[in-house]
Parts: sequence; C-alpha cells; structure tokens
Amino acid sequence: MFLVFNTMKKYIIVLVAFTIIVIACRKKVSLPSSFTPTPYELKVPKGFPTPVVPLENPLTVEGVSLGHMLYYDPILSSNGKTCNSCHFNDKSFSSPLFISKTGVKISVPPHVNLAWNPEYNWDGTAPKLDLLPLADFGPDFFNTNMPDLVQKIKNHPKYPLMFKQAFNIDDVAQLTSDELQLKIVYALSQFMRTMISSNSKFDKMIRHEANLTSEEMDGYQTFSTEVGDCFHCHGYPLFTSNTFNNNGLDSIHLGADLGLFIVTKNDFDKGKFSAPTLRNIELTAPYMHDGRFQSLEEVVDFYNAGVHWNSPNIDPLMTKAAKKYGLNLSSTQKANLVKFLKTLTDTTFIHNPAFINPL
Amino acid sequence: MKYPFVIAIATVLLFVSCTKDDHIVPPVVKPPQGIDLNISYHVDNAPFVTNSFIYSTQAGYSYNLTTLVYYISEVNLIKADSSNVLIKDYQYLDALSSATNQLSLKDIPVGNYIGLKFNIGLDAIHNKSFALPSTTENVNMQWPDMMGGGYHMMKLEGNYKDLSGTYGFAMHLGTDTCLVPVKLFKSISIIKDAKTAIHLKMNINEWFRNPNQFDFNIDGNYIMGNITNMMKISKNGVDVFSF
Repeated sequence: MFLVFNTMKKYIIVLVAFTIIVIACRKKVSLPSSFTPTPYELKVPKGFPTPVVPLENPLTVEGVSLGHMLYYDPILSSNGKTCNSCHFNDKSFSSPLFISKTGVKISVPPHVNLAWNPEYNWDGTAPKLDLLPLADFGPDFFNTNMPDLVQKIKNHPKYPLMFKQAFNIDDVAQLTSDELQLKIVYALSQFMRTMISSNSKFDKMIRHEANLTSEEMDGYQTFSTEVGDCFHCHGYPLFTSNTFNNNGLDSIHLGADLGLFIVTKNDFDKGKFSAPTLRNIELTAPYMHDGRFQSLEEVVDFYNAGVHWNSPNIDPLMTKAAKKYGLNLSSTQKANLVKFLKTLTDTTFIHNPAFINPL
Repeated sequence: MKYPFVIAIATVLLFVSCTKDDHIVPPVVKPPQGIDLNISYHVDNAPFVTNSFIYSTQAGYSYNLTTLVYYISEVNLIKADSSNVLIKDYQYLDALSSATNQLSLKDIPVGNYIGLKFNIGLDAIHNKSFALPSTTENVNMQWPDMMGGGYHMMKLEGNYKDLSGTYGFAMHLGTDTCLVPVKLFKSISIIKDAKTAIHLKMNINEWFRNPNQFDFNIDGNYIMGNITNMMKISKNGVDVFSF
C-alpha cells in the first residue's frame, strides 16, 4: 500500500512539474502595459518644402511599419483587395484606370510625395491624407466587413502587438468601427508620407550626378520657359503647384467633370482639378482626371493645339501671348518635351525596399 | 525640551517657505514698440473681389482678377535726415489671404519718421534661385533659371474682354531689373511700448496706367520674359500703394 502511494506520489510530482513547465513555456500573449512609439524622422530631400504632417497623426516608426503591412494586406477587405490592388509599384503606385460602380472613370493618382499635398483627389474631396483612405472601406473598394476585420486583427500573430506599439491599443475589439478604421488609415497615411521620390535622372542632373541629353535639355528648355509654360503649375521640386486649375479640357462641365465645384459649390471652380505631380509621369498613364489621354504625346498635343478656349473659368495662364491658345510647338519640340518628362522617372522609388510588399 | 520647539519652528518655516506664494505680482511685460502693418486692395472705387468683371483698365478693357501674389522687400522707415531703419527684410503677400496682409513688426526703434520705403519684389540679395526657404509659397514663386532665376516679384492674373471675346492676362514680373521701388511719405511716430498702426492700400488699377497706359491687346496679355512689357508694368507699380 505504501509502495503504491509512493509511486503515485512520484507520478503526481512529475505531473505537477510538467504542468508548471508547460505553463511557463507557453507563448506570452499579454501586451506591454504601455508603449511610447518612436518618432519617425522624415528625410526631406534638399529643396523640398516642409511636409504637411498633422499634429493628430505624427509619424512614428511603429505607425509607418503597421501602415506598410496594411497597405499590402487583404485583411482589410472582404474581396481580397489591398491598397496595392489599385496602386501598383511599377506604376508609381497608381494604376491604369478605375471605373466606379456608377461608371465614373478616374485616373488613379499615384502615391508619390503625398506628404506635400494640401488636398487630395482630383477634385479636392479629401482635405487630409489621414482621412483619404476611409472611403476605401466602402463597397467600391474593400467592401470591408468590420466585425470580421476585428476578429482577423485580434487573431493575427503580429497585428495586436503592432497596434499596441503604434497607437497604444490594447484590444482592437474595444474600439468602435469608426475608431478602428481611423487608426488603420492613420497608419496607412503615415506609411504613404514616407513614399518620397527625389532620385530621378533630372534630380541627379540638379545634383551634378548625371547629364541630360541634348534632346532632354531642349525639352527642359521648353518646359521651363514661356515656350511651353509648364513650370507655373508643375515647377521644381514637387513638379506640382498643388493648386486647382481649369486647363481647358472641356467647354462644358457636367458630373465628375465639375471638379473642385463639387466641394466648394462655387461656380468659378467648375472644371478646376488638382494639378498632378509630374514626378514619375511616364509611369502613370492614362492622363487627366478621367484618363482620357493614353500617352504623354497625346497630353502634349492637347496643350499644343487642343485647349478649349471657351471653357468657363479657364485659367488665365492658358491664354498665351497675343491671345493665343496653344503652344505652337514643332514636332521636334513636342518629342523633346516628352523626353524631358521621362527624366522625371525615379526607378529607385518604385523598387525601394521600404515600399515593397513586406508580407 | 528646547530641541522639539526649535524643530517645530523650523518645520513651520519650511512649510511656509515652500508654499506657493500668491502675493508675488509678476512684472508687467509690456510689448516692445512696433508696427501693425495692414495691407488692403481695391480697384479705384471698387473693392477687391475675384472673378467679377467689374473693373476697367484705362485702355478700356473690362477685366476681373483671379490671383495677386507678390513680395515686398527692404521695408524701411525713413528718418528726417533721409537715413533709413530696416524693419522687414522681405515678405510674401497674397491678396486673397488676410493672414499675410496683417504684419506685426516688432522692436522698431522709438522715434519720429517721415515715411516708408520698400520694394515690390525681392531685392537682389534674396532674388537668387533657392535663396529663400523652400516653403510652398516660395517654391511656387520661383522664376526659372533659364529665364534669369530668382523668384517672381509679382503674379497678377485675371481675364479681360474685348470685342472678340474673353482672354486671360498674366502680369508676371521677375528679374532684378523689374524691381519696383516704392516710397511713401507720412509722419509716423513709434512710441515706447506701444503699437503704431499703418494701413497701406494698393490700387490695382494703377498697374495699368501712369506713366504707361497698358493695353492688353497692344502691349500684351502675357508679359513674362518680355522685358519691354515687364518694365512698363514695373514703372507703373511705383505708385500703386498709398497710405
């Protein structure tokens, strides 16, 4: 009897020890009680203005990292889509053309140097980058099922800790859907603010690291003088004035062609659209807000001879000297202008390891 | 027994000395004397508004305005002995932005002055490519190197009508040659610890007259790079401001 008890005692001791070892070796799931994110120092290229970073969403290393991952993760959608579904790396994070469910054609703006934009979307309907991606949760894009998303994030091996580190969130399930969406777009916008392009052939020429060909220089001359008069709306270094202008695309403005008017309801804003950056313009066809031009040659042809001079609110700068509309460029000048525009292509940007898919 | 008494007194003194003293009156910091400079715009007797064809040039064209941005530089108070006191090196101004048209200039030397002088546009030291901080405003005012470099001194834009239709005009000034010197005389007193208000008014129509009647169809609706026409506008700019 004593022997049996003794044997059982040994088994019990071993069992208890084993249980303790198992418990002790279990993966720790508890999150740190508090976490202070590390400020992210945005490297502003020489000559660039101070970027627009709102106080409510400062850049942090952890926030950028979370945004980078979410940018490529289909977890945000119910249809497998990601931000990258419409913003392809090799297109300077744009895509050929988006057609909404109501049939509106939109040339997808590239994600490049967004840290300097005061307003977003062609018609300025998004005043802040930090709110811009909110619309993507809707049926046109991600068609997100929020309860599902909450569970996916909660059960994800990395996201709970990443949300904690980026925003001090202990449990995403404790947030309302709106709050969670806001934190997600905050992270996305932090990542997008880091997507800076400043290493094109033209930049290298400015830094005396490369030379433009004679044809490219001729195009630069056209671009930077009254001959082509491109610089007023697309000047160095951002190659956008970040202003809204009517460049005479149409003589009548209806629907999505009303542009800035959709936001301001000011009649004088009809037909005005955001002047896009020309950085990586070679990669971001089609062109104009509705993608009506398929090539840079078509764009130059439009400015050369296709402007609708009777367009209401056409920008005064579209009237050239002696009341002319159009540039009167020769075929050589036009071709060289396109060659110059292609010197704004930054291949190191689209292949930057900091921006590629981390998943 | 004397030690506890001493300790008690010391403790009381310690507490009293460590409490926040509400009786200390902070010294009154008077703001240093300065100038509140306010700039407003009009077109003869009409207020400055955009996008309305309510103005007429001396040459007879109905016109509207869409943009007026410019720099002033070397802002000086003029003393009776003709010497100057620099009060502002340069400033970007946007007629549509009230914030940029209300300048608070501080630490102005006390004294009596007989007037104000400044340039419309940037002086030669600042009018060099990339000489100014890369703010969005400064970047958008750059004057291409291929056309001389530096910055636009002014962009005045709008539309005008003639018998054949409506056309845009762009009065852009650039290069050192086109700097517009302005000198205005009025008694200005800077009093110790007080603010002096100065109100400058720009009559935009003066850009199109005196000494040169400017005709959009004859002289040009687009003057950038055309030194003859830029100089006409530059000379007209000397008297666009008044107190």
